[in-house]
Amino acid sequence: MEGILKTASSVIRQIDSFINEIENGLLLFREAVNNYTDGRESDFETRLRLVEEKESAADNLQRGIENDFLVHSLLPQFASDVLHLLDKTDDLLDKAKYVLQQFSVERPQMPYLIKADFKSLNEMSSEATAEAVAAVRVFFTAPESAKEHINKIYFYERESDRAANDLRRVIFQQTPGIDLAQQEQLRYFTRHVEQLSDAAEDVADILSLLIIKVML
Amino acid sequence: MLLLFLSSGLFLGWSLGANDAANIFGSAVGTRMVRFRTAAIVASIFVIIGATFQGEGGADTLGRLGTIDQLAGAFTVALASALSIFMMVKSSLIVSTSQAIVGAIIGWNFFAGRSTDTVLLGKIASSWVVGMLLGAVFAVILYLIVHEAFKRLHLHLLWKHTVLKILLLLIGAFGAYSLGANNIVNVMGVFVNAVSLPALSIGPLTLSSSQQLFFLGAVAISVGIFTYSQRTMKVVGNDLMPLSAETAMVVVLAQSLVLFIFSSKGLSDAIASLGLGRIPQVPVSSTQVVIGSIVGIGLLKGGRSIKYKVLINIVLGWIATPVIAGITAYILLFVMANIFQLTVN
Repeated sequence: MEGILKTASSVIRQIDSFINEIENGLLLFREAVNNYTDGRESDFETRLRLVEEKESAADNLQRGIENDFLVHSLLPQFASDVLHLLDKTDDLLDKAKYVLQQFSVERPQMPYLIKADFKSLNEMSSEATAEAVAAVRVFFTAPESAKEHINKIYFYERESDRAANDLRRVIFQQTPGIDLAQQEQLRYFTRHVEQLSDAAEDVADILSLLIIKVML
Repeated sequence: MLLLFLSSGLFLGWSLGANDAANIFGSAVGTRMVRFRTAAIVASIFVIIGATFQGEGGADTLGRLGTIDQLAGAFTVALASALSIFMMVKSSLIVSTSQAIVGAIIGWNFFAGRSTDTVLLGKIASSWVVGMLLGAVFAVILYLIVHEAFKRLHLHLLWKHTVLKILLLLIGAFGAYSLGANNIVNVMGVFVNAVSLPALSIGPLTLSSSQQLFFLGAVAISVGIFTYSQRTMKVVGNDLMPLSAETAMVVVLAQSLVLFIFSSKGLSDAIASLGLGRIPQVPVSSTQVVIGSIVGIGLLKGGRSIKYKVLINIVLGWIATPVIAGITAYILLFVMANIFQLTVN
């Protein structure tokens, strides 16, 4: 009996830590992109290192959680869905780290005209990921309440699409003095940041089904 | 020789363990909340305790319905009951050991030329209907309480899972105790008046003749649980009753309460002392009570998922099982008395 209680308590702590790492990593991502856009490269690199650390810590926690779920047959009816949800949540930080690493490697030039729009896209995409993390956190204690966050994820994902299209329009139509190679590169980074909101939408899709299953 | 005559009752016990333990731990094992080995050990221990120490109430009732005082008669009645269950299962009808044994006893009454107490028979038959209805009512009330409690507690999903796991085991233990207490009479009840064993003292415990018979029957039930119930548990957990762990817990608790009510002499005495009349101590069908409980929750949720064909099958079983068991008993008693020259009454 004591063993069952200890296992539950330990796995709950691991899940909480995992979500904390993801949340903190994504907050750092938001700041790091703004730092890059503002030309504060030293701050950007510091935050990139921190995101890499958070991502590594989250991966370790995820492996521990998966192991405990399988060894102790936790939530047998929903185990695969819950582990899939955690995997998709981890993808958010994986993608965020990848985007920042690409910034660090390629160092794209940010024309002054697109900076505000790029920050706006970053805000929308980051809001979508923040809501996804909040939804995952609340799902474990009050599944029904996660629906409110899911609605917001879909909203910010659409806003993110809109912001990305506006940004691409500015890059290709309203920014004089940049060549096609730079336009292509900026489009590539626009897509990268936009994809974070798509990843948040994946989390929302999985959660929507899981809530129905758990509430049955 | 005694064991040979008891074999039909022991076989009934084995089949009860193989089938009815699934009503208690089917969902828990089928959904992998509880391991089969754990379920089997808990079920066996508590079936034996319930049968040995609380099984006598129902035996009195069945004894008054038909006093089978010859061992060969008791053997034949139990055999007829087992055979009719086998035939009913083959016909895909939902079958109750309780109804089969009552039918077989009435068959013996006819053969022996004894009269059947129709008032008592009416009480027994009505308890089958009331058992199902009570199962539905208890399940609805318990479901509302449990559902609301979990909603208010805002437990982490893993805590909820852990709490449900522990409750499924505890309630399963209570269910097994009630099953043993209520249904052991189906297995060994007919032998009570035909077999007289000297009292057996084990330390501070003294077991009467009927308690020793019930202990043997309960061991047969346990063998049924260990040897054959894993398959039925998995079928019940995955196919027949795809219930959530929360609903499964409510269903098992409702079933356990109904079986307990119809087997507890203390509770019956307490209610009688309040001037509210006695609760008849009769064996009721655990399967039918479970179905009543599920239908109750189904109705609470809108009634769309209820399979009415199953309900019709149950009502058909209420009539067909005792009739088939009665006829089978009559024929077998005739064969035993006239071909094997055994004294059956």
